[in-house]
Amino acid sequence: MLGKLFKHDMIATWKVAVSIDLALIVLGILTGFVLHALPHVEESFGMGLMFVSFIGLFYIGVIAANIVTIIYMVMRYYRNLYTAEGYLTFTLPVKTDMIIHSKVLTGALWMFLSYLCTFISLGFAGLGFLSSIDVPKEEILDAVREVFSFLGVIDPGFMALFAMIALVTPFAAVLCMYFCVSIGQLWQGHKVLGTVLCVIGLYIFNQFASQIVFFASGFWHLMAQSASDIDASFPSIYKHMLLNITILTVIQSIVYYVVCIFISRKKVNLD
Amino acid sequence: MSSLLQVSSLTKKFGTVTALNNLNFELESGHITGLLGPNGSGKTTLIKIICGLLQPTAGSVTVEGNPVGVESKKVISYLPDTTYLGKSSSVEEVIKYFCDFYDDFDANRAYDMLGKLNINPRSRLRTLSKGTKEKVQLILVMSRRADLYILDEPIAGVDPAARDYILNTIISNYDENASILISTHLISDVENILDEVIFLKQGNIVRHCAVDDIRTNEGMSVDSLFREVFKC
Repeated sequence: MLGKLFKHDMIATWKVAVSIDLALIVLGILTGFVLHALPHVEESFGMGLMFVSFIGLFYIGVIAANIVTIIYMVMRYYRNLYTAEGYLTFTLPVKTDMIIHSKVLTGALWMFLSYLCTFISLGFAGLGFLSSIDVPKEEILDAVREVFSFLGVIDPGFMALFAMIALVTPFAAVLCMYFCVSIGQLWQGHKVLGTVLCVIGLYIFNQFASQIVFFASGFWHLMAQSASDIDASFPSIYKHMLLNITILTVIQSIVYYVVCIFISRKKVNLD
Repeated sequence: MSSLLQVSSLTKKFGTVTALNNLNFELESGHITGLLGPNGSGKTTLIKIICGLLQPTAGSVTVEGNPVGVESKKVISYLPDTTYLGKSSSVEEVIKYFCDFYDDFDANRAYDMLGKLNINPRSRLRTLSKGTKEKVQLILVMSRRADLYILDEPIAGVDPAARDYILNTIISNYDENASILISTHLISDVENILDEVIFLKQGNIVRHCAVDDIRTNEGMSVDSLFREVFKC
């Protein structure tokens, strides 16, 4: 039954989600063209303004695309489960857990694709910029290698960690928002307000939690070091921080998942 | 006759308010039962528990011997008192959805009923009037070969002509071995199709008997008895 639920969730969401992703890629290509062409155009205030506007538009577009995707997923979750549509959803001959699993899988898949399209879009914009500047390609590659080396990215352990983050982040994002919707619906008559308050509360909590993890991972130690020592110790501390943040995210996601399942099984009260 | 639905010591409380108070009753196959009571008597709460939309505070419900869950949902066809279909779907898409999830769904029957009502299956639900959407929902529910149909206020808020259509659809589309539990406070409209009634008052069953017994023993219609029992 999970397959059927997933199929129908995908059918219901693909048009909107794919449109957002395509718009994101088109925006990246356009930005790449502008960044590529602009240095060849005669300098003027108008061209400068256009350049800045395009960069701003690209920046806003990338953020908006990711936000719109997750809001769309959350809206569907809320509508399908906790509004009148829940009368159909919860009377389907399937286990309640399957309904949640399908929503999580659908949401995480679209979020993953949204992040992927963000990288592709950034890639197009970056290529446009790099092709427009008069710096030898070797120098650019050297600079990239230097940054990667400083961050400790060129390391199998870091690559594995990055793959884990790429896998965990979309699930964490949708589970976090589904958790807020589930908590919000407990407040009969003010379900949306309850959700919004939960999002705000969780955001504040997460800020504190991530700060604690940063400092516990050796951030203080890093601040107290000299510049040359930082160069040497930064990769391991950076990796340590990312690992701890990922572990925190996984733990939080498990809590979100358990709460979502519990509420959908035991605390549903449709209007 | 076998017991299709068994409700035992069922209690539901919302905070300090008792919506259902220690209900006990059984429904057998092949009967149309009216779940009758004024607003706030607990009809919808009882139906929601039977359909798995609410958890009881105490007691149990079994359908064909199974507790409320996947197996019970397979044999219950439920019409809620609200429009539950997503606005962005077309009627055709919703039919496919029902076909996928309910093995007992008869798509031909659904298309046949839609045709009789001149409802275009390709219409988006957002373009249909409230009344037409309710008819689509009824068609979907009655197109299943379910063992138990639970209809919550199917004729509330519709004009008399539509009421006749709805009641005819119910009567002509259910299998005689199946049962119908129909909740309403419009007694006179449904009285003629009922085999038995359950009167629900403030979460308690105050009467559960055959309609013929009411007519024979009390010498009055169900509607008259209802007015007497629930006199304000």
